[in-house]
Amino acid sequence: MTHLTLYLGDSEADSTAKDLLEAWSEQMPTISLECRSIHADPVVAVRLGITQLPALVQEDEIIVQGAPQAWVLPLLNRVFAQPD
Amino acid sequence: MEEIWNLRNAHLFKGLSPTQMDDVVKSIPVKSFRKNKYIFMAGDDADALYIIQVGTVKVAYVDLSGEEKILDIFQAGDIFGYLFLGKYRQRIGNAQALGDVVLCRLTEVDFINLIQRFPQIALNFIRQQADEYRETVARMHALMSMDARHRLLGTLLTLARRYCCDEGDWFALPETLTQEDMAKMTGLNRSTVSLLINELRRENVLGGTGRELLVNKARVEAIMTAKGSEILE
Repeated sequence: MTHLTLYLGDSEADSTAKDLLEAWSEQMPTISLECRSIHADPVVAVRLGITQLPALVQEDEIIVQGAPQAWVLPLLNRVFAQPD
Repeated sequence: MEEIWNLRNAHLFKGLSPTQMDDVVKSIPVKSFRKNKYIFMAGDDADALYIIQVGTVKVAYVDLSGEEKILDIFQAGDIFGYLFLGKYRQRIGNAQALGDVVLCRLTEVDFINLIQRFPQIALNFIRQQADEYRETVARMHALMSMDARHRLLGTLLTLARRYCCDEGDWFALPETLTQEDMAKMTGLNRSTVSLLINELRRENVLGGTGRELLVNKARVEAIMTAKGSEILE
């Protein structure tokens, strides 16, 4: 099981990323997704080096962060791409 | 396991080893602010500076006519709120989170202690002050002596020089920065800024659609040089 944590702020882009990734993770039996507000634990941003929100983190390593339109849909498209 | 804290993006700490960083950052309080919340207000007694870990912060003041004037915009890695380190101890502007923001707060005593332990921090701070002073002079020159188009370009160039990545000439302004904010930084009205942005997009000096605004640093520099701002190059 791969555990991913999505650190979020309050912006609309963050909630869009949250909705899309939650829907995605429900389709992925090997993925568990946890969503956390950065306001609940801001220290984590400094500890992990998060500079932009939302940020997707696996085992304390940032996989991707920043404007979700740049990474959420490409991630979903790659996973759900139809085989040739 | 010992955790290595990460403020590598902060200009203030450039050149410090991961172990030194760990030592430095563990002792600094961290705080978050939601969009539009104020970090400090004009007139407040100042006793700490801030390092931005996440987000964008606007520092502005309201003039006697009630109009907001933006003094500066800060992003991840920047420090702000340090003017009290001189002889003036009160805040001259309101610092406001433009989106979700995470900040490290350093009191004067903590800052001085850090400098004594790691002199590299003092050097980084002086370098940053020199850059900011130069940027301020450039912006002031543009505001005092140029037309609306070049005042806007001067401000965009300041932001591009500060944040432009090394990979290319195109720099994306933070989406939290509105055209209204740009108007307040340049002393123009919002509709003029909008017209100029559209014009500059057609000329391929600016790019992006909607709220996304890209700045071609090289093209803006060329225009400003042609206009006679070479003294600032």
